Amino acid sequence: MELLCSETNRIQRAYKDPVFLQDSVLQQHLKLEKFCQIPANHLDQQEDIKPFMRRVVAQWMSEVCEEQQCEEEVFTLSMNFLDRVLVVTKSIARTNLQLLATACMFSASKLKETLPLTAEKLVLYTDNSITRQQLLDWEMLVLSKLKFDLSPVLAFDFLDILLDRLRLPKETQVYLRGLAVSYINILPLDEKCVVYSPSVIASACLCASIEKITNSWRAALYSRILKDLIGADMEQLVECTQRVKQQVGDKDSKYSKESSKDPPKPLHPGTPTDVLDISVN
Amino acid sequence: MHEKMKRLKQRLGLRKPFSKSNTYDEGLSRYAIPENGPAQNMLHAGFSDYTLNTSSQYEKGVLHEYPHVLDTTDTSKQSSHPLNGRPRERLQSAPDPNSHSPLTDEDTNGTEAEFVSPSHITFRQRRNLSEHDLSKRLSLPADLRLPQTFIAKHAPKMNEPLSIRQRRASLSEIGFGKVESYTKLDKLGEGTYATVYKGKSRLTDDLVALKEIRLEHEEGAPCTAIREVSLLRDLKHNNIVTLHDIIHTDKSLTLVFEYLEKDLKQYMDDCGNIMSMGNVKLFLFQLLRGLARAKSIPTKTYSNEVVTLWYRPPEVLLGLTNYSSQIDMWGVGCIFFEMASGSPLFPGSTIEDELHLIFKTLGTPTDETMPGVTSNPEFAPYRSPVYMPEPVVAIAPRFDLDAADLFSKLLNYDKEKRMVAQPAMSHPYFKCFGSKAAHLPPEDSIFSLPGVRLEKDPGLRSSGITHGGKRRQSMLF
Repeated sequence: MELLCSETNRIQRAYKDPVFLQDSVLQQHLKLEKFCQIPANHLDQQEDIKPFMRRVVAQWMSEVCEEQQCEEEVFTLSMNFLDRVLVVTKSIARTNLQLLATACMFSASKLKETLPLTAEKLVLYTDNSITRQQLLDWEMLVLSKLKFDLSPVLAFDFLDILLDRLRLPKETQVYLRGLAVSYINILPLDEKCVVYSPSVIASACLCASIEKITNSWRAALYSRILKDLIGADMEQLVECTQRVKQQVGDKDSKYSKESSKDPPKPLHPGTPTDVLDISVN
Repeated sequence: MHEKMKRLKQRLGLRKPFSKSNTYDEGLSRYAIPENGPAQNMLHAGFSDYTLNTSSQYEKGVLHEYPHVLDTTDTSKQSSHPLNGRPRERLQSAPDPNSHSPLTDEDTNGTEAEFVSPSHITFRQRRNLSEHDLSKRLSLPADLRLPQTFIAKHAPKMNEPLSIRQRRASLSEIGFGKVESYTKLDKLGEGTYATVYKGKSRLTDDLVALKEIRLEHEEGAPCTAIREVSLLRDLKHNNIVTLHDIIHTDKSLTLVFEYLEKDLKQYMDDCGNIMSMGNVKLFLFQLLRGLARAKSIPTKTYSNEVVTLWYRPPEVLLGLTNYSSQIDMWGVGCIFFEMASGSPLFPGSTIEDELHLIFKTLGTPTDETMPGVTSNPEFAPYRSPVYMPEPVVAIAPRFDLDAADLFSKLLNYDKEKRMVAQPAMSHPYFKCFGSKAAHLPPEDSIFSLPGVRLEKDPGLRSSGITHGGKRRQSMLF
């Protein structure tokens, strides 16, 4: 008897599974994240690679993931892979950094996406500076350096649980989640942020998003709830939140600077986008 | 007959991880069920990721691990088993006077000698202690045989702190991650991207399944393999197949799995599809344990192809694109029935046929039993005739009241109300296992509980008697 599988073109997605919102899952994640902490100043031991190089390559990775509309965790996961490889492998040449970064994205995408990034596409994104064979070889190198430990706890693993615990109205949740996701994806661009644990990052990004839509008094209230949930140090949470806001501010100002430099679009940086959309026609 | 069996295996997807007729990989490619997520956990390779302790395992593993079970079973089984040459109890300080296991070379100074000369005991204990401590220090399985040279080299350094690098070096010195540590025996099957061999570990003498994945692909390592490894490497559970080792060479990646004698389908074939209801309960419980464990490792990677048709829940058949852990529980209900009755519950050949069979047996769903169903355009062709649900006792006469209750809770049309694995383990149906059963440590076997053991299956073919087919089946109530 033939088994008929009704394959459709739609990508099927999991709905919010209450199983993943259980307290035991939160506790398990909090326990596990202690084992995947990347040490501070992890780039110091690299002979050839300097912090600014990581920033450049991270920026490129983030843009590739954005342009390819990868699943939300792919960029963060590939940065986790990249940092962990840099921790265990001391002497990576700067000329191989982009190759390593590409291999990390390749693996992360295979792990998280229904239709992973192809080797061909990634090679094109490096402007053919690497070959397919190099990419495949380095993929295996990355996998074995990571000892196939490819599911580290990420800030994303905490996001939905924490958001659920704040008991906010549905629309607010959706809005906050969107903001927080974009913040979580900005944070790995700064190499200094690797010291924060995923739970702190998730909480800080939520705090920063809450501050954006409400007054600071209420935001402080929520940050205390979050702190208790993850059992973190308040000082660290505040510090991380500040860093998130600073990073987001940097990115915003950079983009508005870029757009203001752009001659055909004489845009005022502070104007909300929807208003601009109307004024075009 | 052979063809029929083959088909049965295909549709059931209940095969041992690497059975000849249908390998894991064929399963993947043919049914294109490649991804993770709840569906993968259970059905991308049938239930092959879940290990049930069947009789053969009971004999070789469980007896060793839980000597108290020994008291209630036939000890001759133990001593006759070839693997008993190196019983696990040898680390215990008190020797078991009843054990007369055939001794292998390394055990010549073992059990029997211990009664004769006290000096032997001290010698043996000292040797074992350091070996034991060394194993512990490196977090190794207790049954691993460490080379003497290795012990001699590392035992003196026992008190020094151990770095990760040192541990890794030690592991590789013992032989982990090396091709030479495993002997290939028979080829069990070949799929699109991997070949599976039966093998033997030179480290533990245990049988293993070697899954050799070729890496010469356009896209490098197959994503299914990457996901498989990353999920299984963290799952240590008595009812989930264990990934022992990963060997990486230039051209291939070999995954070393625990070897399983047979899968549920083969087990059922061997007992003529007539299992004792006690064993049905045991197997169902172990299936639920495996699922409950897998569910507590959350991963959000889901695939677009889900579940063998016969075990696919109605909401997925009706084109629902969102799914979650409840999707597996429908299949569990179907398999529960199949174990008890010996035949599949909804053996549909197409999606339409499958839905028709479900509705005919469980009644046509309404908005009350399955919220939103009447507004689903896919449901339109099934509106009439309206079937009334059949009573469970008519569907499965062998079910007692508790079994019937659990069965209907697993086959709930409303996925939100469908029972999930963890609460199912606390269902009254399993109360005979005691309150501890639902909270056993992951590594422990269900057979570690007092009084829990396999029964003889009524359909088990004993020599001389050929199985009697339909007539015998109708006798079962």
